[in-house]
Amino acid sequence: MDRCYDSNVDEFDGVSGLADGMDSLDANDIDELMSGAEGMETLRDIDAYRQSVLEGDPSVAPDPEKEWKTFRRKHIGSDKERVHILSLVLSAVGAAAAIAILFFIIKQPAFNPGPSVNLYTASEKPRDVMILTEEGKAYSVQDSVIRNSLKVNNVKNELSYKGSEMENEEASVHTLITPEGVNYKITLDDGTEVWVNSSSKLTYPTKFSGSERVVSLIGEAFFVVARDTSKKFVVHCGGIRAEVFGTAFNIRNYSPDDMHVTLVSGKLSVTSEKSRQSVMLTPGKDASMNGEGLWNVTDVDTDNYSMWHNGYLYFDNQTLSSVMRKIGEWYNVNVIVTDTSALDLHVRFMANRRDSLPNTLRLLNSLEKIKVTMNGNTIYVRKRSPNEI
Amino acid sequence: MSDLSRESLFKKFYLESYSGIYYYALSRTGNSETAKDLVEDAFANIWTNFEALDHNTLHQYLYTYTRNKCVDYFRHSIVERKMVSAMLKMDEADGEELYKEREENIRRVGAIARNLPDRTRVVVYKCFIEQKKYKEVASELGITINAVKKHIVNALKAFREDLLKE
Repeated sequence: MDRCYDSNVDEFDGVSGLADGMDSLDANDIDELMSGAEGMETLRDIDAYRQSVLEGDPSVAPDPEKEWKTFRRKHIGSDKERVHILSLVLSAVGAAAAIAILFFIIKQPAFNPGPSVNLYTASEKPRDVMILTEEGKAYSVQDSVIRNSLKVNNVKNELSYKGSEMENEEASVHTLITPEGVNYKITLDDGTEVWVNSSSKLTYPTKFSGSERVVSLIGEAFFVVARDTSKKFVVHCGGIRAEVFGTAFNIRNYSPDDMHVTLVSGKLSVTSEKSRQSVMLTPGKDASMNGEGLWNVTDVDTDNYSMWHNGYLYFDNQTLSSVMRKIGEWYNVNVIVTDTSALDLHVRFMANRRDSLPNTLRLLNSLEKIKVTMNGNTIYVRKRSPNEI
Repeated sequence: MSDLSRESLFKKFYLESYSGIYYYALSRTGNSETAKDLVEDAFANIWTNFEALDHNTLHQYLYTYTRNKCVDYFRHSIVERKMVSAMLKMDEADGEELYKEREENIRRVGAIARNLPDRTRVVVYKCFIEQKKYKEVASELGITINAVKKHIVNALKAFREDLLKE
C-alpha cells in the first residue's frame, strides 16, 4: 500500500461523521463508540486495523537486519572519527588562536516555503589528483614516475618542484588537476606554495624563466607566493589576471557569479582581460565582478575565503546556500534545498574537512534553525519548524 | 559505557523496535520510502543521544520523535490537517507501556478483523484502507449508506468488545 494521502477531507470525515443522521441505528451504540475516551479507543482500533493490513502487505514489508546494516554504515561506522572541537592555529592568515565552534543563525527572513532548489550535483568522475604533462600524459600524484622526478614530502603527501630533479631538465609545462572533494598542495619551482581546491586545474612551468612567473588557474587556489621583487608572479584565471610580487591570496573562479580574488597579505593587482579594468588590493580586500563586468572591492574576513586551505570548512556569516554548495563540492554529494526561503539564512559554522559527512551534517543540525537530512547520495536542506525536536 | 556495549545495546533496541515504528510511520505517511527515511532519522537521533536518554522510555521517545516527523511531513498539505490533528490526539497521552503494547494491539485487532463476517470485512476494508466514501462503497456493493454505516459500527464494536472480554 504505497499510497499517499490524496484523499478528500470528507472521506476521513466518514469515520468521525458516523454519528450524524443515523436514524436506523441505536443512539447508544454511536455514543458509546465515538465519544470521549471510548471514541479515542475506537480511533486507535481503526488505526491498529489499518496497520494490521499494512503488515500483511509484502510489498512494503521492512527488513530490519538489512536496515540495520545500512544504518550502522551511515551513522555508526567503526573507523569514523568523533566530532572534535579543534583549537585553531593560524599561520599566514594571522587571526586569533584557539577558536571554539560557534553555531547560530544571524538573520532569518519570514517563513515562506517555495519550490526546491538543486544546489550541487555530485559527480562520478575519478577522484585522483592528476598531473598532466606537456606531451599529454596524465599521471596520478601517487604514481612513482611523478614521485621519482619531484621532491616528495611523504608525511604531508605533498609534491614540490623546487629542489627536484626537474630543475636539471628542460623546462616544460605541467597541469595539476583535482577532482571533486579533494584539494592538493604543491610547491612550485620558485618556492611558491599553492593549495589547489577541488575541481580545479593549475597550469605552471616546471621551471620559471623569463621576466615573469606565470601560471594559469581554472577553479580555486590559495597562493603563498615566494617573494621575488625582480619577477612578478602572475595568475591568469578565467579572464582575470592577478599580479603580485610576494604575497598570500586566494583566487576563486568556478563560474562567473562565483568569482573572488581575496588578498590576505602583501599587495596584489587584478585586471579583467576583457574590460582592461584594474584594481589594486590591500590585505583584507576581496575583488569580485558585478553584473556590468566592473570590479567590486569589499572588505572581507579573509578567513571565509582562505580557511579551506588549512583543512577547514569555515563560514562566518555566510548564506546557507553558499555553505551547502561548498559542502556538496567537498563531499561530492548532491544538495537539494527543499525550502528556498532557507537559502538566505546566514550561518556561522566551522568543521574539519577530514570529518565524515554524517558528522558534519550532525553539526549542521545543531544549528537550531535548519534541518539537514541525507538519503543515499543526496543532502536535503530545509528550515526546522518551530516545535520540531 | 564503552563504544562496543553502547552499540550492541542500541542494536538490540533497533532490531526489536524497527518493524513497529516503521509500520507506524507507514500508516501515517502512506509511503514506504518516506517511512524509512523518517524512521532512520529517529533512530539516528536516538543513537546520537543514546547516553543521555532514559532507557526506560526509549519506545516512547522513538514514537514521539517519529510522530513529530510525520506531523511535520504533512505540514504543507492543507488537506491533511484533519489527519494531523487526529494523529496528535491519538498519540498524545501514550506512555511507554502503551507503545510497547502497540504491536500486541495491532495483532489483536487484525485477528478480529479477519474473523468478521465477509460483508462487514469488505466494507471495513473499503472504508478504512481504500478510504472510499460511504456513498461509493454503498453503490459498489449495492447496499444503502446506512447499511454501510451499520457494518462499520459493528466492526468497531467487535474491536472494542474483544478487549472488554479479557
